[in-house]
Amino acid sequence: MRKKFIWLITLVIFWFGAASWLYAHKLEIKITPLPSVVMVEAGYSGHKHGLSGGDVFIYAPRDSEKAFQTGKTDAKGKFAFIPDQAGDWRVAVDDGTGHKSEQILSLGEDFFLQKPTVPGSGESHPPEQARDVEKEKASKESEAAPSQAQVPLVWKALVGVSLVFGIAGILYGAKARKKSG
Amino acid sequence: MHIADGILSTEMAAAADAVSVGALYVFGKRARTEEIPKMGIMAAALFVVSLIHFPVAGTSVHLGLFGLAGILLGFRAVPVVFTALLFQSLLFQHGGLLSLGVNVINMSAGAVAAYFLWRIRPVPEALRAFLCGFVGIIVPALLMAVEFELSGYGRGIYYLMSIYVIAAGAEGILSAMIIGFFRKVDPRILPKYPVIKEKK
Repeated sequence: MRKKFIWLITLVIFWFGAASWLYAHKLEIKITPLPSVVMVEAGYSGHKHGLSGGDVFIYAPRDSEKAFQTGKTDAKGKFAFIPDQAGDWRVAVDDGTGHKSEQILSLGEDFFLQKPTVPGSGESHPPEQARDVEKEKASKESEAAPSQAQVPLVWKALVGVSLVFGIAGILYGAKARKKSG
Repeated sequence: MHIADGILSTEMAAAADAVSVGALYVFGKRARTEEIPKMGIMAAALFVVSLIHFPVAGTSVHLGLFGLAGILLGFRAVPVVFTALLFQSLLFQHGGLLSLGVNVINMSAGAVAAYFLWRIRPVPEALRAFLCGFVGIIVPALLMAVEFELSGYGRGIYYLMSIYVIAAGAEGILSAMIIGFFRKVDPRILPKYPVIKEKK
């Protein structure tokens, strides 16, 4: 009985301990449109530092095959590019170990009408003119049905664990029945 | 450590898929009824533990528990690794579906290496558990580096090995702690494998 109790306590501690980490391993990107330049910041959720040396792929509107620009994030996980046309720009970041994140950024014509900000000039331009289509699309989709990207990681983990236990249970039942029969 | 789709050649990935499905059948079919609950728990642990990570040198590495799977399950770790990686790929996008076979072979190799290492009895148990956890990460990392080189990516990936050495060390310490815990709480959890001894 005591051993079972210790097991139960260990399992509960492990489960809740793990749950606090579960959100932490996802690769996330943040896109900030500045006047004439778009800045991409990549990093793991839950981390203060960015992903350094991550592979960045920028795809121009109407050209999803050939990358407009490729490169690597700097030591702080940042990468910048200069778009040359309005439309939906696809930004993908890959850390090279199986984690990838992608976003679509919609740039309007007004983005190209702004003057570049001179550092220290005191001028600033609000970045609101560039809409994050992914978020808009996601919020629209969430009204109908949650997409896979929206499902929290902890729920995915629970689904996976449930499926694994379910498969094991079915196999156990089938084997036990075969053995007894 | 999970290899994504499109990195290795399709021929290599398809061949590895065939081998991993064959291994799944061979080692899964012979599993005894009483082994299945333990395999299920281990598969769930392997599946979830990949989300527990720690930062190393500007990147992020996560735990694998392949060494522990090898200690507790021996060759039965192969179907367990297959199941865990399949769901990691489907739910977390860790590694691709086409490259699942390559990932299964890499990580199962770590588990099987740990299984053989665990059976060398003259070495103290805590040290064996540490080494099993260590090889459970280092062997898959080495295989991954070799596969990258064979696919024409050069030898740059070998420099990543220093990161995996740190991860393997952490995994070794964790494995030693878990085995020590099992020994203390309920030694029946630890299987009794045939011992490999040095010939005198």
